[in-house]
Amino acid sequence: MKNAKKVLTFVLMDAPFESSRTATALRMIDASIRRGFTVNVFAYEGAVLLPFKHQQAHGNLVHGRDVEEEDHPLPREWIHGMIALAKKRGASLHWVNCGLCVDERGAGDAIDGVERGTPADLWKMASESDNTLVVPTA
Amino acid sequence: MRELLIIETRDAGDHKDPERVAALAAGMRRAGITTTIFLAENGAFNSRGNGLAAAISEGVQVAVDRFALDERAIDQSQLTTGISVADIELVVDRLADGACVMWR
Repeated sequence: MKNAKKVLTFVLMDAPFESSRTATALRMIDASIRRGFTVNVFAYEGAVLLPFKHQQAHGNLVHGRDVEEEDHPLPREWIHGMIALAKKRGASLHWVNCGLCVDERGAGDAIDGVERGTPADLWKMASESDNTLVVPTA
Repeated sequence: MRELLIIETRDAGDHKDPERVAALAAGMRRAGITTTIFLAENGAFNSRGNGLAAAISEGVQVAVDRFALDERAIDQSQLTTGISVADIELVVDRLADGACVMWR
């Protein structure tokens, strides 16, 4: 295993349910936690809706599946799971939503563990990280 | 810069830019920089055919995301010679080691 004290920052922009980039980026964040790294996430623009508390799963009428059968994935559940995983593993996931982007979208009701911040937080995260990956929108 | 990792997520059949990324990677390699292209998402389609052969011959390392292959039912027997299969941890470890990582 790599040095457990490494600090990585990920910068996310894409809104949920729109791009494969979200799943790929969250896989990287998950893998970083499993390495024992300290992980920072700065979410801005549509990405502030990734941990939005009121996301709801739905069935699929076209294929005749109810909510349980459809098992629709929800990013808020993935993020909740990663926050819990980080605690369990003694790692850290520090997720900050851009406050202006949150206000624009009425996305203030996020799951527990998500903080509100500003671009200054991103600057601080990047300054204190071993590396930073910007995941641009498609 | 001592090492460059480029994450290519686009299918060369849909976009021109993966060709330019391959040329960039080859140029960086010629400049003496260890360079890897990681094919993720629809970039996994570029693991077939000859689009990356020139870059590989220049010494660029190319790996394709196992998850992306599985999602697209691309059999590993179809991969271009010189392209390896890797997991997402490749990116995480390169980040931790201080590589410059570009997402395309």
